Amino acid sequence: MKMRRFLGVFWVISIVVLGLCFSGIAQEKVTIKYAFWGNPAAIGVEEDILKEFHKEYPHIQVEPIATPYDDYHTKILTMIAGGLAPDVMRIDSYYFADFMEAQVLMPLDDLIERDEIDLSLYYEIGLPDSMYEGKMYGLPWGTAPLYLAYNVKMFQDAGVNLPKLGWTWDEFVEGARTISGGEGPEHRYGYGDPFSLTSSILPFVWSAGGDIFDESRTRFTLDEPQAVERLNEIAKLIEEGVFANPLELRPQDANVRLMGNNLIAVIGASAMQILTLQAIEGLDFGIIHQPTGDGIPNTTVVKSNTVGISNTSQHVEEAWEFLKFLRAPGGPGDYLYAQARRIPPTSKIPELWDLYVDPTKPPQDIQEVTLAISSTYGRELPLRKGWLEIEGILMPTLEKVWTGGFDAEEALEQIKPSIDRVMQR
Amino acid sequence: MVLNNKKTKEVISAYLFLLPSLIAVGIFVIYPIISSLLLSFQDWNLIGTKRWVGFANYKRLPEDFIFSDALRNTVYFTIGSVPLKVILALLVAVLLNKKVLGRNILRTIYFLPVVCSSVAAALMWQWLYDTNFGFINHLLQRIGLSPVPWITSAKWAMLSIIVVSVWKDVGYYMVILLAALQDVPREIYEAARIDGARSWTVLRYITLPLISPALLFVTIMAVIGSFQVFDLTTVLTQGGPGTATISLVQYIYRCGFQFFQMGYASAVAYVLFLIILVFTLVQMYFSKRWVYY
Repeated sequence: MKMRRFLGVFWVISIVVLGLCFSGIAQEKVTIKYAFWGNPAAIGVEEDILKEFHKEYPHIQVEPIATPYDDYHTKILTMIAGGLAPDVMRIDSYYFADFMEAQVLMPLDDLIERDEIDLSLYYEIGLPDSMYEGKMYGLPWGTAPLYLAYNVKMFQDAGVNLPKLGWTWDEFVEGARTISGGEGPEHRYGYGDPFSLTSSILPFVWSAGGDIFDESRTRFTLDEPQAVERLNEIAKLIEEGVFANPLELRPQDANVRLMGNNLIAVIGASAMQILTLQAIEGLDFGIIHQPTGDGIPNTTVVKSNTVGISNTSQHVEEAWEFLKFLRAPGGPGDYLYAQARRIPPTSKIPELWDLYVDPTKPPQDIQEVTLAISSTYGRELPLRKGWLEIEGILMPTLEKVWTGGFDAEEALEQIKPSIDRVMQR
Repeated sequence: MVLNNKKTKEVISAYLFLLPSLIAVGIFVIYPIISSLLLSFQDWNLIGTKRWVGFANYKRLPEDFIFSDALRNTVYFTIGSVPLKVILALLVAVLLNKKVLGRNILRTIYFLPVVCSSVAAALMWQWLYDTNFGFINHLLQRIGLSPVPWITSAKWAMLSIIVVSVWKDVGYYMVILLAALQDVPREIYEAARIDGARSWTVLRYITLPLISPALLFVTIMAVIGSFQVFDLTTVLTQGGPGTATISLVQYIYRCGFQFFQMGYASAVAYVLFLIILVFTLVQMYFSKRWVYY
């Protein structure tokens, strides 16, 4: 009887001790959350990256949080407000200043220095979008120009020379006029874009010598003469049928489809849209930078986003290991993204271009054009706090200009007080 | 004494049965309403610190041209769509209350748009309305007319949205009015027929008064729903061209979740709440003159 009791107690104690041991081992495995946006095609490469990371770092479990882009930042903000911020998160540059004002990410300079991450390997133009008040708060992701894509056949059929590096606004408009023509559903347009601030309006205004803000980004300058003149010129080109009405191109990738049907000769194209164009059977297209102005070569938006570590992360070292894997120049993430052709190489490593460029599909000169944009023709967006609200006030007003309801100067004068209020906040 | 104890027990039991619902309503309705009211007096971007600003958000409203446009558009949408929905729903209900061939199939057909997802419907209509490739303009061109920029012109965009909204909602209100029509005693119609009343007289002096409570309900619901229009304007036109079709709820969403101005968005939401409340109270007041219970 005593023996039985003794054995019973012995087993219970053994089970408890073993349980504590295993739970101790289990505690060594850390789980971190990684938030990113993407459609199903884009998510595949993230899963590949996680698979490779888990092989190399079995004690760090990364839990992905994938959200469609349109809802992504709202979801992240809600998670942060609820105290559930992901450890590692990607942030679009449009939102970066607002997020940084709320100190969402932690500064990485010490970690970058400690682990000798060579920032000079990144394209310089992409770095400012990861910096706030002089410090690095993330590593660049998706540094890429917003190209123009052109339909080779439409140019050749109209007898217009194909765009070359250094092409100007006048060459662009003249070519667009020559190409445009036809009636009804067969009408051909020289240029077509849904007209966002970044894809069309700012590049065109820059080529005229104007800008949305002054250099300090504290004064609204889109109502100054060069910008106003260019905006009115754009409205006239839409009225004449040289540029497609941007309101007709609202459906997803409508301009890509029309280009595929040889109805629009030039469209704005992000890296993702280039993949869509490549999928169109029989479409021969090229890419080029935005048309330059007189003495103004840098008219093409180069946009970069950032991936950073939450200021409230409980596993900073583990999050940093993952971030390095994902985004350090020449790291496994860089190679996997290039292989998947998800984003053009963010680092100046030639092998990445060999992986990224598909020799069987156009455009064959994507590396040459991208490097030319990075060095000469590119410009970072003048992003600042309240950018999205300013854009939200500006765009409906500019739509009134495109539809012929207002002169640009009139329209901008109406909204200037609202924009000034946002800028002074 | 015994009776009081019994009554008290009954009251306590009633409240206990109601308690789960009251808790749910409290957490998911009352608390957000009060929080939102407090938020409308603050400046908050979802992650920073909330800052008390008093009536600043409300003072901003008259200077905000997008708010003015959104308010104007929403009132235009309501005035344009509600009478059409109610009248069409009534006509269809009256017709489908008669013994016609295929009545059940017709009732189903009219109700189908109601069960269709608003987003899917709006996407479909977006293509129907397309200026160059849309089916509607294709038909117009077939009969020699020019294509119309249904959703890309400030003149036509809101009318186009009203058409889609009426198409989508008529079935729902028809079902309610049909149920009310079927409640009207047959004997009254027979008596009217015997007295030689014509169809229009029967409709005006018998049918409409007897279904007036249902008509009031349908009208109030249609007005409330119209003031809250969001999905159609967001998907079909994104509030454009310019601000020609932006609705109040769409603007609340933009202010809150795109510009991260939660305090200001709450202020706009409360203004919308007050507008709907006033409209509803006015309708209830005037209903005494034409609703018969």
